[in-house]
Amino acid sequence: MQSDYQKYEVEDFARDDRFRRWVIQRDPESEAFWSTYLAENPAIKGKVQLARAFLFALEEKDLALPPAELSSITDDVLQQNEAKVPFIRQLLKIAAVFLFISGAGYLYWVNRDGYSEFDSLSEISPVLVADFEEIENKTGVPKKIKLSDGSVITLYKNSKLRYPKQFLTDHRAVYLTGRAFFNITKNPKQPFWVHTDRISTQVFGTSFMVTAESKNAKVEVRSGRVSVYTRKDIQTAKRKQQKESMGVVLTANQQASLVSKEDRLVKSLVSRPVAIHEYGSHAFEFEDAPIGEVFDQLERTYGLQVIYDASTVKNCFITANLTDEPLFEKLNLISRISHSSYEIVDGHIIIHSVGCEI
Amino acid sequence: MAHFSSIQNDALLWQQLKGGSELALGKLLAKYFNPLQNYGYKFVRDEDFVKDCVQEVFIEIWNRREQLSSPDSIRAYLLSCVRRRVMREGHRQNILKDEWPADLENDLSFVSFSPEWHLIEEESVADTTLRIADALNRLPKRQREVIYLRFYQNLERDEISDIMGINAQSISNLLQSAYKSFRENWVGLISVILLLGYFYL
Repeated sequence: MQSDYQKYEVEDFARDDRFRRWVIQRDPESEAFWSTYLAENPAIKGKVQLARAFLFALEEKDLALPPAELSSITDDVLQQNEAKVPFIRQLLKIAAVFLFISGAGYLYWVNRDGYSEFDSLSEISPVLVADFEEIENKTGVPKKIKLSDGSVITLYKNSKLRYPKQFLTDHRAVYLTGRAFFNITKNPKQPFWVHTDRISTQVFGTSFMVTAESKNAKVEVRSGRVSVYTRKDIQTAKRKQQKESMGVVLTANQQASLVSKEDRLVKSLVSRPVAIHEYGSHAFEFEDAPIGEVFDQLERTYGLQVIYDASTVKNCFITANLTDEPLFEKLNLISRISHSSYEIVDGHIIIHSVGCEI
Repeated sequence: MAHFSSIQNDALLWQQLKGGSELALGKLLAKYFNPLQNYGYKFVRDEDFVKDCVQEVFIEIWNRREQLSSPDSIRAYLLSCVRRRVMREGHRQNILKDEWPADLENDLSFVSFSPEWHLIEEESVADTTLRIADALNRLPKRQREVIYLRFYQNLERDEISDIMGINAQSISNLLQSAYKSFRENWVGLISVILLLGYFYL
């Protein structure tokens, strides 16, 4: 069985059941199998990664619904089998109109303290109501928008971006509804601001994702550094003429999301942290390495801070190959080996350890 | 081997569904809903629309369960139902919206691949994915669809031939020519990847 894989071509992997369970169905058990197998048989890695990328390219987008939703769809199918199909469509349309109305009501509610959307936009930046472009993406295909300063914005489905035809000289400001990925050209003299209904993000040349969909507002940073403010904080700061100091600073792989009820930002890690720069192919192979070295390597690779008590872990050593695991998988393995646990607090990784016996 | 037992298993579930088993419907839906959505999305880039279509296919199957035939491959049968419905509904909506009134022949067909991987966990894989999509997009539409059905949906030639309504020999020919141009690109890709030092061999 195992020797077969050695002879596999890229196409054979793509059609292998166990391989497909890992790549297409994201089955954790198969993933564990392949990560062990690849660690033991590094020679086939190139073909395996190519086969994965091949299936990802064909898939394009993971539309998969979770099992719970599939079983509720089954219930719908069973219950609606008497009804004529067009009737369902009618129902869906009514539901959509209703949603739209309730969405609009929500907006009104947010702005009830005397701010109309117009006021709020002109307060952000006068050019956003005077001389602007507005682009809406209603299709499922992400739309790329290139701004005059060279920044590129990828606008996702049902999202809208408003930007001035010409930026002011002292800052650049855009207004987003929905979801977009930003790749911003650095210019310290002209900071870039992304405003949404409830939060504002100041950017220092970087790439990041902003989501502002009804009650869900979130900023995820891929690279560089941004600071995020609730709109309320900015208004308060303006009123009191203070420096805006209430913001949350985010660096690569960190995210801030709005706790809607409390109008407060919470900082954590993005769900899938990525390496911020390429690392050597052996960087995550450890043989009897002090655990501190492992943490240092994690810090360098992901640009995140790992907080631990050096004296407690001084007798902990690790022998493992962590090359291919995503960050959280790496952390799980390290915890298991070193009898420790970790938690994410304020966008940092905190290690709790009772130490290792010699 | 696994493929064979899965076909047998499908046939059994299909028999049970025809006999009115809700459990069998649930199992088939759980197994195929996601891949069917992925296929529908290849024609119309609208997730909600595609989800509706797939759900309606299952509703229709359930309503007509007593009159259903027993196809050789359930997977291929479901895929072709989704293909037909997405095309038909897509056309209807376009006609309603009057967007492309004159060009009914070409307005709905297999799209180009544009993988969405801004936040994929491994950057090297994301990069390779984009390169492969690029190579795939250089193939003619039909070859693209054949490759997709063969590898993403893991189908045999006969099944692909049923879905696309082209005879099996033509499917073989399409696959052959797609392989030929594509495999040349793969050889190139492997060397690019090695050059960048993403993997150690």
